[in-house]
Amino acid sequence: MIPVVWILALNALCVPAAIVLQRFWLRAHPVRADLPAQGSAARCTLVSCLALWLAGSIGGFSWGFPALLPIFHGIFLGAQGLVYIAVFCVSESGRRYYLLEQLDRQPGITPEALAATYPDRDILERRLARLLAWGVISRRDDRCRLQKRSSYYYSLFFRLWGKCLGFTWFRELRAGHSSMKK
Amino acid sequence: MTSAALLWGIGAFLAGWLLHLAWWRVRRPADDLRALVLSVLVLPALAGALAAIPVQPTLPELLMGYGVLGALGLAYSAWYPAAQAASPTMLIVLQLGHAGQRGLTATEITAAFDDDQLCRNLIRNLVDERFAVERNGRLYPGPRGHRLLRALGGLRRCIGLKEARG
Repeated sequence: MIPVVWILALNALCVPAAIVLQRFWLRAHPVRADLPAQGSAARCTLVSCLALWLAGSIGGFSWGFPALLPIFHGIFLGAQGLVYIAVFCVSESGRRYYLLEQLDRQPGITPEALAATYPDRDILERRLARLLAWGVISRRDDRCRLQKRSSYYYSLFFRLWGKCLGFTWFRELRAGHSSMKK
Repeated sequence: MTSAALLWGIGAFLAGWLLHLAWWRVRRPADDLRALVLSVLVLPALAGALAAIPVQPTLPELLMGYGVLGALGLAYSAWYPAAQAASPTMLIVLQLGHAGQRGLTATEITAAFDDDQLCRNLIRNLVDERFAVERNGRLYPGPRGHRLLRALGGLRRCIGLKEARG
């Protein structure tokens, strides 16, 4: 049971450590008011997971714990890290949470009025400005171009995942989208 | 802590994922969240427990096996919304990826989106998933929505962040 307790104890520290690290990180490196702080969440979670994985694996190895301990430990820490980043992104730049916040401020609002608090034009302009600031896209001669192919592959992965489950959100772009493919 | 526990956890998750895939392909549930937890966590855990009876695993093995299943199931569920809903950021990146070096103007990018669908679809999802309730054509945060607001609001306060940026 001792290796299990050792793993559980270290895993319990993962998210709290990421939160504390992120608080200090954001104090030292404040993000621009119009940009979300996803990068800080990813960095701090990675540092927290790596430090705890190393501590757990080195400690377990020196005490003669089972050889598979680092694999279990890595799976648990990796999952917690992914959950923390996803949850943070939901609260930071997710439209659902933003709309829920608006709903909490104005309970009894009609769906039309709620949609009007966050028009599509604002959503798209905000995203374009972020992608430009992050260097994912560039703008030259009034035309935007993709700079980071990794973001494209990441989007293709989620499109494939959605496709497997039968979602059709990638078809929500108008017919003009198909001509853009050429 | 053996490889059997590791394989059991991964196998149970994969079985749950196949069930989730089949369920969604046949008929997507209105309340995605509950069905997702049921298919990738609860049912594989119950089926795995039955499968483990003849093997009689030790307590640490059982805990580790369930730990692996829980870890994979939670990570999958946490990222599922990115595959479920149209993320405008991803749609923009996909458009620009398809356009190649020719690129697109900001007007061309925004013109490719259906009017008001980005927000309206999500409002429908909020009601379907019971984060919000609709009464007499008006919306209120539901109990699940209140819990989410409290939990994420608490997290944001711990980090030192204020309003969400949307």
